Amino acid sequence: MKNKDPALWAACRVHRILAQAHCRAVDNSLPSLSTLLIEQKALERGWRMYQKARAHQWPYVEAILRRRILSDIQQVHAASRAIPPSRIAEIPTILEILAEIRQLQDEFDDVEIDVRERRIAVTTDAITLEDVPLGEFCIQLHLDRLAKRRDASAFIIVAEDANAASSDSSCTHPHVRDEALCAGDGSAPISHALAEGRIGDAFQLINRVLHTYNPSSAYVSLDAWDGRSCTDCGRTISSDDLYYCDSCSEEYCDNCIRTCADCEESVCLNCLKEDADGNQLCPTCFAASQKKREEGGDEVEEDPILDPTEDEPQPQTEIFHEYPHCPQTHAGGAELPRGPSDSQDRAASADASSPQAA
Amino acid sequence: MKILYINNQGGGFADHIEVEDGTTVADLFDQKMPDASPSDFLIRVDRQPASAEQVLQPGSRVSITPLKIEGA
Repeated sequence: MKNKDPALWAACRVHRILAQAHCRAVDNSLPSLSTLLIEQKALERGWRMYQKARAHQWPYVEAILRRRILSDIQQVHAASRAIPPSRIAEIPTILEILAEIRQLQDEFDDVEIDVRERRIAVTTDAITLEDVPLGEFCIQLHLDRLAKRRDASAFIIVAEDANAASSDSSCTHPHVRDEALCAGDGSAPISHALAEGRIGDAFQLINRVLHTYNPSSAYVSLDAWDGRSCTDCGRTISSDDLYYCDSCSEEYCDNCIRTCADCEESVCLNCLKEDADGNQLCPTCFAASQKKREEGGDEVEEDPILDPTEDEPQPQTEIFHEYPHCPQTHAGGAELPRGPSDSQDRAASADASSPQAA
Repeated sequence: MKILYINNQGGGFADHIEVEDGTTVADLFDQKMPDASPSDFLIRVDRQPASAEQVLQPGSRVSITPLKIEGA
């Protein structure tokens, strides 16, 4: 069929898609009927047996079958409850669909039906959310997509004059990424509108979602629309709040940046180094510190005045507390240097425990 | 009389419902959305903008669409 009126062409096309979907929905609406039929047959068989038992005056069998029949009735109830009264949308007539498509021209300034591309498209007014201008959006209903799924994914949302989030160029609206709308609360009404052939309602619902900002589940928050993302954690924040790491030349949020204890330059957590004294340093200061330490270490070995053993009392104390029952022995087995009071105590202890003293 | 009522909030189903003769758009809105304000909705009767006093006719198609629908 070749129509010169694109609206009529689109209406026929949508009607055919909905008719095919309707046939599939009807076919799939009775998958669990077999369970109900099985239960019903069991009930009928039980009822026949019960009648026989009564005819033969078998009271014991009759009582058993009565209980079984009551149980079978419950099973039939349960099986019938498993089949919900499925709501299959009625197919609108071509004229009704045509009226829906013509309604778009009342609701939107710019409506385009592209027969070759098989799509119906409208353009919204310029949208501004929370003082962030996002521009106009072209809402495109692709009929090939509609044939596969009657939900928001049948639409493509194209930014006409995109003001994409600076942290994500694919995000042209807080709820649009890669030209796909995350419809949220609009998902169910959009699906129902498409399934029922209410094309005008579906476009209007998409339009209303585009005009609404939900900060709790936006792809990119409007607060950070012009911001950039932290290289480390990915959080998007205003560019004014980002810190520059001189070492790796990347930008970071306040959670992922530190200050060099020496030069006080900003340094990211990846570049941050910690010296032996626990100072957090940038790579440059850390290298300088290491070099100084190495040079200092050489001097210590060469300096005859400094006695390395004088640096050891600190470990002694720790080990003494850690092994109170064995104060003389180092964890590695080395004997600790003894102070004067320690020597006296040990001497007293040795005297007390020696056989001679006993 | 029967009208077609399309509530685009929540489930978004279209239903044929029974209303009393002489029911206006405002009456229907109060019945169906007692806690809501009409200014928050796009109300169409037979696909056209409607006034609050407009009296519904048998077979009227009334659609109520919220102006704010939160995406995700």
